[in-house]
Amino acid sequence: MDGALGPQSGPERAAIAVHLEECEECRSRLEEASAARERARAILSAADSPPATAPPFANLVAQARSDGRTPDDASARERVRVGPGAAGATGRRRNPRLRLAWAASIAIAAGAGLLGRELALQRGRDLPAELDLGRESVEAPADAQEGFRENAPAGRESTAVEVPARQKSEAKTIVEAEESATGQDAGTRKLDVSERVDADLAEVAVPPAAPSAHEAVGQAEDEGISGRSRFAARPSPSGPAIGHPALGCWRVEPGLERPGLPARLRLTGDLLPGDEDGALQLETDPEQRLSGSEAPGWLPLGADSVWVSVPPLILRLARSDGMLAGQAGDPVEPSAEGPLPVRYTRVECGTP
Amino acid sequence: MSEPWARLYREVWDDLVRFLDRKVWDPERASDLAQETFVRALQADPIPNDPRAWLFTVAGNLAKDEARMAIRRRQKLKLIQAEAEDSDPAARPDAEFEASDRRAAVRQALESLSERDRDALLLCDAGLSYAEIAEATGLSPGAVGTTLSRARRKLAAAYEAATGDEESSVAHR
Repeated sequence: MDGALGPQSGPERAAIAVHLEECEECRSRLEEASAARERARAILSAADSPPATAPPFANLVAQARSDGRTPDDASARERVRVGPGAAGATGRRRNPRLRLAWAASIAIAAGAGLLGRELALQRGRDLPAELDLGRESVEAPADAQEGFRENAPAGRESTAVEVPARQKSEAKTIVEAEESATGQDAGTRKLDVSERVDADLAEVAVPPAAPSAHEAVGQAEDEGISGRSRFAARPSPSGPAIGHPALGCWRVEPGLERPGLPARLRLTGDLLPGDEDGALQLETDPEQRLSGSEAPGWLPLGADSVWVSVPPLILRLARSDGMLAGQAGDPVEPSAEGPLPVRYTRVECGTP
Repeated sequence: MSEPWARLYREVWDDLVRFLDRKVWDPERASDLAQETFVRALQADPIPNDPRAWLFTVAGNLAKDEARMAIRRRQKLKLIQAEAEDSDPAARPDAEFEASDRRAAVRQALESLSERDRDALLLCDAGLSYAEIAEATGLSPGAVGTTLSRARRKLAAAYEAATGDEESSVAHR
């Protein structure tokens, strides 16, 4: 049926072979199934990764026998890691990729929280005139912003958030991030990444989306409230930014700091339910300028752009028509103070 | 007690990691989960009747747990840094991108299959017999061949759709 004759006994195989000799239809079906089998094998092999080195079996035996440890323990993750440069080693290896993934998840959660704030603002809730999330507002150097503007394609602008007067409520945004292979404690730890966000962030009902509005699902999670929070983001301000003229508009830039710029930066994610995983790949040239991007279907978290600070550059990942593009600006100052490199920049309302 | 597992460890390590890699799409994590699978095997009492099928069943469940955990912690963004530039900088990116694209297309094609079809296909690719596939998936032994045949056709069609590769359609003619 699937192109394999299976482990029949000698007489059975002989009988099948005889029948195949005589029956053209069966022969044809077998050939077709065999071809499909080989084709599937070839397709799957296209996804092969370099083979992983098996750790010494004795290490696993020792781990299985170790007292007070079960496979479900977080400490089980401390087992041998294998791979180039680490074969046979015991203990965990510092993995810069996972560290980056951890940091990136924090940055995205911050973006979701900020976007939720924007939604709450739309519902007429009160906030003080000053946007104070426990961090200093930092003005990006003019030349950096100018650099982005110069390079920005039409319709790919960062989010400008209107800040009307309102009262803050106390809540915490909690982000859980697995720390395996980061050199820190194993297991899962909760990080307090924002001291003040809207307490009912996750409870805010989704207003019917305007035809031009972007919707995204945030990943911020208020304490005690589980499930995804849905936010309605403003339309990409290809025109003037929307804002209250008396109170001003703010550019919100969740950032991620790390030393140096890699030769290649790859962001993947499926932030919307049911979305296929997409990827953004950014390459740099020898001068560490971005030289290319690729972004099939990945949507940033509810904002029209996410900023990733990679000193000396800041990358802007901007959404336009469901696509992402990355850009790099000029060298800028290190990002904002505080546990998260979130940058708030007051912008003139009506400017991108 | 660990001797049967030791033999199996040598035999199936590569297949198990490949199987897991196509579930979690992270080679390092796949290797971790393979180790965890064997740790659980070593703690299993009594030893299962069909250790090989048992291993892949446990591995598949660990991969599912991994996916659930990823959703729960909402860690959906990965920032991956390229490895050190130790080869021809002009030629490497293209080759890597191509490999990455192929892998993404295979992933997309696999994820378009039903879970049962996908599991049967991956288990078969890992070298399991029909009986073992039936044991691991809950399919009846007689249904394995049909399931595999259907899964292969769908995989080839989905891969072709993802890549524009016409080879798969040629293979079916």
